[in-house]
Amino acid sequence: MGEPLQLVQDFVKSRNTLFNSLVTQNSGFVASRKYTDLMDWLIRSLFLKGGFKEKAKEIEEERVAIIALGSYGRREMSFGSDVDLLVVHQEELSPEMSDNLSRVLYALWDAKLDVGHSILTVQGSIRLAMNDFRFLTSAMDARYLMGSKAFFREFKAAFWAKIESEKGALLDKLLAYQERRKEKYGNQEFFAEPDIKEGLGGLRDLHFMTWMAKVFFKVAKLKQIKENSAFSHFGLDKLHHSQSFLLKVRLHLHLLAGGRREDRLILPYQEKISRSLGYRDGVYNTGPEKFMRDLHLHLNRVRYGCEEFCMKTMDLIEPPSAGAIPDRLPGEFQVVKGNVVLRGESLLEESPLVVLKAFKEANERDLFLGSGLIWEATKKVAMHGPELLKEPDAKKIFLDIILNPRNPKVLRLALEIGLVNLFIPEFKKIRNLAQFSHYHVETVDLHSLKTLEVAYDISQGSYDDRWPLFKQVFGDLEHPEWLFLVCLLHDIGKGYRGDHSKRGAGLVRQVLRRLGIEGDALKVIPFLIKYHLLLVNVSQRRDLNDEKTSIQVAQTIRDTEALRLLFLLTVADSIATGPMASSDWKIMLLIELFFKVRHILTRGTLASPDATKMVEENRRVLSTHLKERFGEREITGLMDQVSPRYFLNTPLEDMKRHFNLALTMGERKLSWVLEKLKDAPVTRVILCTHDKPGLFWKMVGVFTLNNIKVLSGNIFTLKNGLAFDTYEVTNPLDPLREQEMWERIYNDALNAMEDRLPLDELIGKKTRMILSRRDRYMYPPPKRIKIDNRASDFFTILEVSGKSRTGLLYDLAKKIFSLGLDIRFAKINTDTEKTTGVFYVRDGNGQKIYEDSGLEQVREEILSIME
Amino acid sequence: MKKIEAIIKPFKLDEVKEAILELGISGMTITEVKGFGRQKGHKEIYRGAEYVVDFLPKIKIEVVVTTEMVSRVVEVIKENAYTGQIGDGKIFILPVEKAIRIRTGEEDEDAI
Repeated sequence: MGEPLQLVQDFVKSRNTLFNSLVTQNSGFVASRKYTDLMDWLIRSLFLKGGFKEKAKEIEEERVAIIALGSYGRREMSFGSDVDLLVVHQEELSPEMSDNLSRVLYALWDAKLDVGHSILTVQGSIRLAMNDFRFLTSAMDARYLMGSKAFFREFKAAFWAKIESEKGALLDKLLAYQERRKEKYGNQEFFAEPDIKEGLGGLRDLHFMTWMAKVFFKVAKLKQIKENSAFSHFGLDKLHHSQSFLLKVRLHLHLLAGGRREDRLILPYQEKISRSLGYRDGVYNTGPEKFMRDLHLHLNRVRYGCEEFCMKTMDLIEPPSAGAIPDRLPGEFQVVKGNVVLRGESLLEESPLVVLKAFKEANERDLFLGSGLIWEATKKVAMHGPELLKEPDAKKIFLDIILNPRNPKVLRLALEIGLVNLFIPEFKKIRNLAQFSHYHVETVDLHSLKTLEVAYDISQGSYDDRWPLFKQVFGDLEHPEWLFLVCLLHDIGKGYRGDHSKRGAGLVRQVLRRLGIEGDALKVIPFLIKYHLLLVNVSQRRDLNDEKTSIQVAQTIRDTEALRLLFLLTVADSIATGPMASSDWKIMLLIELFFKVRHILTRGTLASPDATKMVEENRRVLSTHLKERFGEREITGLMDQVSPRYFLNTPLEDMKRHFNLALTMGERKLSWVLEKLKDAPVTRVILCTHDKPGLFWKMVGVFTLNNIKVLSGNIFTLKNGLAFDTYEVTNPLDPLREQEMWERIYNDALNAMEDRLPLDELIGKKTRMILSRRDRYMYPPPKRIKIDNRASDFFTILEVSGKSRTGLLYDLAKKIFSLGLDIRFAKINTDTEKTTGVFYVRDGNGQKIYEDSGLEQVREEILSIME
Repeated sequence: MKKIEAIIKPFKLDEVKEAILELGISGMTITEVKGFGRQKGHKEIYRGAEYVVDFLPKIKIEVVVTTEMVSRVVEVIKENAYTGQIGDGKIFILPVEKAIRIRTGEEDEDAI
């Protein structure tokens, strides 16, 4: 074994040299090619040492071939890649051959390589390929290494003949594979930390194109599809460049992970790789941010390229039935295989306006553009852009496309070939701009298109099953076109320092003027952009039952059309952002706020009726209801214990429940009803108990202990020492044992109120046991506290935000209590990364807290418990 | 180093295995086991006679990884073994004092 060991040592040495040269190597192809060559050398030498050379003749006769598969076959190995070997043979392998083989494999294992090997007959390997998708695709990349060349050719011929005969079934498998990937990798986790290989726009998309090309166009290499006229203008060069970049990143990634096959660019690696690739911090962006922007540029390009490739391929394989689509279109175009193409010879002599007309036709008819037309359009936009802008009809046609965004693919194409940037140069700043918020699943440019698409879907009733309100509101719009414009432009202020809403509002006027838009739109659209986060912030951070909240929003928005526009923009923006930003709970809060504000706006006056009268009225309605079960004296007696603010700020249904609970409580210490919401995974806990100091933090502690998140809390204390509380919390983790869980929580709550539950200790234990991935975040959210004494007439509002951790809310609630403050209302938003808690508080004397009465201490002490 | 033991539903094995391999982890041990947790056993009636089915077939996966990989491995097991039904299984994390590869005598991280 001495000699193989020496070979392995030489291999490791050369590999280390490769590692070191990687820093200066610019092309990912060259580096991975070099590594593959080194692997070839090692494996060949190992076989030769084992007597392969001497037996060349026998091997030829024995019909044995050693074949490289997968990335090894493609010569695109990374440092952690599997070494996939296939030994095909005809007869039983001779004992010498088997012996030789296992010696090679041992040596490879000793070199700490992940070796995948199969020893199969030709028929056996074909059978396996048909049953195992992964083996099938890696066998498509088969490359001869050693043994009988003639036999390798036979294997190849048999393999591809089988594929040819199974094409139909294979297509389904390939498409299903892409679908699965989309599903798995299309979420925000993979956006912030992309998988370079399997993720959307990753190397797999390029492999996928190659497989499709090999199967359906019978080419050996992807670049040969250029010979097919449908692909003559397909942008392969750019894709090649992107592939090189991705390969390079992957090599660095594997190196950083110590040779482990790590394909996920998790945050700590982003930082390190950006440094080793030479990205430096700039004025606006840090090195890692610049790196991620480049990375997303390549990922987006590959993803888009693959989609375009697929569409074309599908059109060629299964041409869409002619039927409804006319072959001849107005003007210069016709439809060929589902694509808009030119009727004449070439675009280059035509007026550049033809490009826009083609987009308009494709958009209106839900078609795509032919590849030749795309290629010429790209050139035309790049070279004759200014002329196009001068064409009298150009802006009109461009707006027509934006305002009727029927076909998202066409819009994406317009972005891709620079048409959007031409009419809206401000878009350049947000092109491929990644957002490091852990909320977003797309770069800013694609997010803007997506928002526009969602708005269009709303107009088409796509959300009717879940939220029919959206389309109804859309139907009431006087200017639906403003909604589409603002959806496309709402984030135009990103990529600068400071508040992007204000910046965007400032920028958008020139954008609109340039597009020839005049009149009220120039006032309304900047306004909508400036306030496009208002409804989200208020609905998630303010007490919606406090009428002042809605009044303040109404005072800002002022008319119902602006409210409708802002509401739909907010909805579209949230849905386009990703599932975390558009949870059912958050949508419900938005809708609640929308109705409240609308109510105030349509009542015609901004002033609310006399509060005393409202209290009287609410008491009367409640009393009428309660009289069915309880005596009048009993009811009035209890009502007199309740502060007027309760009657102003509590929904009638909750009041009924509170009173019912209180009037039937008897000797019990705690009584509650649970209301499980239909529209969101949330339970409302409406409870009545004897008020004890620290009731709120104790309840928070009990919920935390039982893995339940508190979303909001409403606390009213009665003069007779009762408490009427309402908590909105997430459902218990186990839906199969909900009843059991609630019983446990009830008992915990009873014990906690009597101080029989060591909450500190129990929650402390919980915190330590959490296995966290939080340490990975490169930009943990900063800890902040904002103090607002204006939004509420009676309370100081503390708005606290910072890095999420188990027990944070518990600690906050306890801290606020220990500062002598009384929490009347709380609203909490917890994501994996960030927690925002809003607390309406008063001091012990029922007063707001001002600078001279200890505000600074409150600020400091609260911040001290945040990480 | 930690050992992660996961008891999962047998039909979830492929998904869990693939997901662990995707993290670039190269080895694991699989055992067919029987057991019960909260779902307990249940009774089956066959031709009038009562049979108690008290142990249910499960798969145990054991994988030893470096400490910094623990949370990611746990994450993918959780994701891929999940059905939301009773009996999805459990994950245990145990400290590992030493690892030795028998063939070569390599130790600890070299041996896993």
